[in-house]
Amino acid sequence: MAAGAIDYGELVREDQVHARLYYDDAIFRDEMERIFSRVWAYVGHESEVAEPGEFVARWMGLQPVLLVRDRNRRLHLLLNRCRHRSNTVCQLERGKAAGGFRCAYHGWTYAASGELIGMPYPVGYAPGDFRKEDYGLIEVALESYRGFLFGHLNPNGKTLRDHLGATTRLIDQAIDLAPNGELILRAGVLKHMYRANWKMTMENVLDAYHPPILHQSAFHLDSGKSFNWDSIYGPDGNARIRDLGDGHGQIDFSAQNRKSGGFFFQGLRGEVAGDAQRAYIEGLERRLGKERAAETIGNSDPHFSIFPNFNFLPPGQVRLIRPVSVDETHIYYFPALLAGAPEEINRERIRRNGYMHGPAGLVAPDDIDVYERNQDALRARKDEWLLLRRGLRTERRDEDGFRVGMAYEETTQRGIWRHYRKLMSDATGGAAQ
Amino acid sequence: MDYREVEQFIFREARLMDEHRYDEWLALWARDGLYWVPCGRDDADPEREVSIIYDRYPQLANRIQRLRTGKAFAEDPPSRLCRVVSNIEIETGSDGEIVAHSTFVLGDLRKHREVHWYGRTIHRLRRIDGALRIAYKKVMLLNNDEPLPNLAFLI
Repeated sequence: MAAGAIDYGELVREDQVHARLYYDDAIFRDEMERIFSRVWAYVGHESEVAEPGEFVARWMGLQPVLLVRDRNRRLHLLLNRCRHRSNTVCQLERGKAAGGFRCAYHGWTYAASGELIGMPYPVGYAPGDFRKEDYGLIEVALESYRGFLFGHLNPNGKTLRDHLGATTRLIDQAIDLAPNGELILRAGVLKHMYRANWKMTMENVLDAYHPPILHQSAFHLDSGKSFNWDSIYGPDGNARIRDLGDGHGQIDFSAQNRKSGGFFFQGLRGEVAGDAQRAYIEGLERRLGKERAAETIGNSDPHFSIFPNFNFLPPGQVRLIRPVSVDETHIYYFPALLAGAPEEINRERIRRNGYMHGPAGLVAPDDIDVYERNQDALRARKDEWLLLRRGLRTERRDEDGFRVGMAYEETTQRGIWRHYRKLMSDATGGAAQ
Repeated sequence: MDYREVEQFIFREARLMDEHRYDEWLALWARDGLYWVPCGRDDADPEREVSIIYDRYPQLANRIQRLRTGKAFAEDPPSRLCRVVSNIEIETGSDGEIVAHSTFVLGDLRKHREVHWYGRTIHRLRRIDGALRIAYKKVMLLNNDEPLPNLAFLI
């Protein structure tokens, strides 16, 4: 290890992690290099840029990128940076680039494919001094898994499929719920910010210990007052947490969903009229057959996380986590609609996205407040260890070899940190010193 | 239509929100009321695009019930709020409803951090048993397309 380098093996232990991992700016800079520049990171969904010319502005770590569909319908992930004097070529967060992207400064113009198509006074370059084809917008590697798009700044031979591992099953599970076999993310985006480290939300989304405690005000509204939440989260509860490897993880509510006839955590029970439910089930049966449709509804929406910046939650919500600085993070929440489902069902999915998990939701603000309380408490610098020991001695392996724990244990967070330690301990990304 | 009465109603509603007087605020609403805070842009279609808040009365009642539990931790301790409501314009709407346009500036102080909120509001008010009631309220936040901090109080 180089002198002055941070010893991540020491900071990340099997049963506890050091507070410095959340507040040290040098560590944040290492993360941008060793994580966000070396693994596949989520950037968006194909349906967001369904039409030629459509684009959305996103980030790879701290770097501004444009996800855009060109006129031949091909997708590109481009650095939002003019090749001439470094200027953002697109100022909007989403839109349609009819004439491509034009830099305001000196008028260099790029096609939606990133190709440099023109500039004022090309005569300024001596013959042979400049080839337009060498100066398109810089393209970032982009791969899709069934519509979910991930970028990679330094492709190293590991395919997106390798990276996603077992999470593809959960993506499939989410998509299978759509009668047309497709998810659509064109129903807007809720944006939430907090003043704390990005890893807090990545850990929290896989922490099934806190929901009945932190979120009791939402769980105990009239609708849930008489429900025995221990039957999900307690020692006899049916929820399980699963470490899926490579920092990915799942909270598995499928036993509860099956018990309740599906969709326990969302609005297909009660909130949607019976004929819409029937039409939905029939649509699903046409595609999957009766048996698989029943099984799919039984499993309902999965709850899982893909390291380092993607979550999927039961109200049909995709989350994109954006680290801004060591103590500022933005979360983008996208309703994931079921193509081919009755409008009423998708309306309810949209409504519950904001109602539960937006900045004014009944659930997410309490999580956000906790992250900020965490960051404040990290200023207390004595015995700076955060414990992750719950279930360490009792977790077991499932039939696929994944570590599984009870809802109130910490198997999933340990999974995140195990992968984190591996990535962060590698200073060179596998390259020779 | 009495301009003064409408103005006083809107000022009073603002004070009830500032002071977290949840039940009194909820009592200002018609039972078929609709409370909408658009997300992304002011003219989004709330049936097809996600909203920051899109509550009919039952959801609004749940929201209030949650805030009153003392376990809504994002509001524990509660934000100190102070809003100025101004630029009130009043029109006659359909079915005898009163339409009021207004703007607000809101200071939100919590745990030593001050956040400023700005927005425009449209109220549709209806007279029920002699008293004005909110049939519809749309709040267009200046920053509704930005990452927002918690908005766990009444806006």
